[in-house]
Amino acid sequence: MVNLATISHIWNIIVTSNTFNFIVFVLILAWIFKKINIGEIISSLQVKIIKIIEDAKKEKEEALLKLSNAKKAVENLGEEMKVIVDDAQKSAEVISNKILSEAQKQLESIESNAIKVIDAEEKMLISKLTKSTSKASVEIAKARIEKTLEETPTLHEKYINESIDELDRLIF
Amino acid sequence: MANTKNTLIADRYSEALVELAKAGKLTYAKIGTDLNLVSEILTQSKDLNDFLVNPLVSIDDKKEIIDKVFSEEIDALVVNFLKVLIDKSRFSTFNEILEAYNHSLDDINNISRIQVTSAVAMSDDAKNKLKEKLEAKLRKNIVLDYDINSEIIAGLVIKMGDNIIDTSLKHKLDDLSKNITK
Repeated sequence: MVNLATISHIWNIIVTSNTFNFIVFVLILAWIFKKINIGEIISSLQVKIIKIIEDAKKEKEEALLKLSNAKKAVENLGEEMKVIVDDAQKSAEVISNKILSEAQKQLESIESNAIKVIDAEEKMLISKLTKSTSKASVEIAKARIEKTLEETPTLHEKYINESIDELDRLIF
Repeated sequence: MANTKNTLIADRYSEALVELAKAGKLTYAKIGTDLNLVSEILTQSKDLNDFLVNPLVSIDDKKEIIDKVFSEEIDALVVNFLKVLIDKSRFSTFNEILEAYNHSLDDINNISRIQVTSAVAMSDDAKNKLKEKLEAKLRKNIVLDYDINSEIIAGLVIKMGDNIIDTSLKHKLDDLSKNITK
């Protein structure tokens, strides 16, 4: 009869041996693979990978197409740039001319207004001067006439006679 | 407005006096002389004038005073005329009546009264010359009223009713001044 201690000893040897542990590990893995259906996952991954590869190919083709277009675009870039620069120059000239024209008009308007203001001021000054001058002239003339009349009283008679003679020219 | 009304009233009373003369009861001159005398007395005696226009004084008292003051100085018809003015409460328009009568008298006698202003006194020659000229022009008898105003400087200002003939040097200088500043 094999006693319990022997059995226990044999069990310990088995349990602690690498072969046994490896077998257990393989069995566990087999059980896990069976449980999670690893084949299906792999095939699914394969499909995904294939799709990713195809997408990558498409993207590559598109990128190549874009590159090709970009190359073509770059090839015409010089001309396009030239056209853009020419257009910009033309626009700049038009804008510049317009600005200059408007500035000229504004300048002319300002000049015209300034001339008008100066004219008005000039006329006003002339009017003021004329008024004051004429007033002064008349006052001087009046003073001289009064002095002359004072020095030559007979002139009164002359003016009175002239006034009487003026009646001939009047219609009653 | 009140003046216009007074003028109209005065014109009517003046016409009454003219009719009196036309009727031959008095001469135009006598009426004029009497009215001027009354005017002179009223001007000299403000108290008399105030008494005659005072509405608080009775008509009889006024008439009595008129008799006492004027009956020996003026014709009885003119005295009666003054009493009519008292009766009608129009004595306050006496001066306007006198003026209207003088105008009527001037019209009847073809007289035009003209005011002449000069800077110095006019010589007799100038006065005669002016009178003759105006009479020839207006074909009226001219009565000139002379006035002296040195402000006109020289020449004449002749006023005929509402018309003014200004030939003074002042007027000419004013015209000159206006023309220069135009």
